[in-house]
Amino acid sequence: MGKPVLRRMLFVINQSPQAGPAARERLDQVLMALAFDQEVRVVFVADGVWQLMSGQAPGGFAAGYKSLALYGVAAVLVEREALAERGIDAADLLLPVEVISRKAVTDLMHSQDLLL
Amino acid sequence: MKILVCINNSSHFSAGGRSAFEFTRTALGLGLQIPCVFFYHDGVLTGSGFADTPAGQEDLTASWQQLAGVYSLDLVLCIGAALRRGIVDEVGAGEQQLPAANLAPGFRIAGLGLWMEAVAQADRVVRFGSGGL
Repeated sequence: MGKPVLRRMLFVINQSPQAGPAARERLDQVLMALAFDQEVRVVFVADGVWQLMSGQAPGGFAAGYKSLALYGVAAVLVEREALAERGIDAADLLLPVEVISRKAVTDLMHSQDLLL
Repeated sequence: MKILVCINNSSHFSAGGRSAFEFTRTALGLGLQIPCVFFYHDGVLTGSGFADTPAGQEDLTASWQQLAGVYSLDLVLCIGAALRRGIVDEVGAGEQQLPAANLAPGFRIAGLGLWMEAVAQADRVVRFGSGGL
C-alpha cells in the first residue's frame, strides 16, 4: 500500500445548531478526515459561530468540538466579524479558538486543496 | 481523470440536485470516470424509494437509477445522514426492527470511511449543494 494522499481540507460551518443537522454532519466529516490523517482546518463563519457558544443545553456537539484538538486538527478558526456582528466575545466560546478576519478566511480558502 | 461527485442537496427540494445529475450524465458521456456519487446531508433523500414525484416533474431518483444502470455507477448514501432522515436498506430495517426498508434500488448505504477513501482516490472532487450550510 502506498503513502496515503495528504490533502489540505477546510471545512466551513455557517449555520447555527437550530438550523438542522448539517453542521453536526460536517463535523462527522471532519473527524473522518482526521482519522485519515489529513491536514484539516475548521472555520466558523456567520451563524456558525453559535455552534461554539458555551452554556448551551445538553445534547449538542460540545464534546465533539472540544475533541478536535485531541484528534490533531490543524486549526479551529472563528471569523472576527461574525463574532462582532453577533455581540459574541471569544471568551464566551466553549473552547480556545484562533480568531481571524473575514479577509483571512477568504485567503485561507484559496490555499486549500478541498473546501467543504 | 477520476471525479468524485458529492451531492448535498435533495433533488426533490432544490435545484442543486438536478445540476448534479446533469453534470454527472454529461461527464460520463464525455468519457470521464466517476467511480462514486456520494450523497450526504439532505442529498440522501434522493435515495428514498418512497418519495412521490408530482405529475409533470422529473423523477430524479428514477433518472439516477437509469444512469447507474447504463454506466455501472456506484450511488452511495451516507449511513449517518440516511438514518437521521429515515432512509434504510434491508439490513438497517432488520437491525432496527422497522416495518419496511425504503432504499431505492440501485443505491447503497455506506459510511463516511468510504467517502474519505473516495476523496483520497479522486483527482477532483465536485460538490453540489451546501446541505444548507
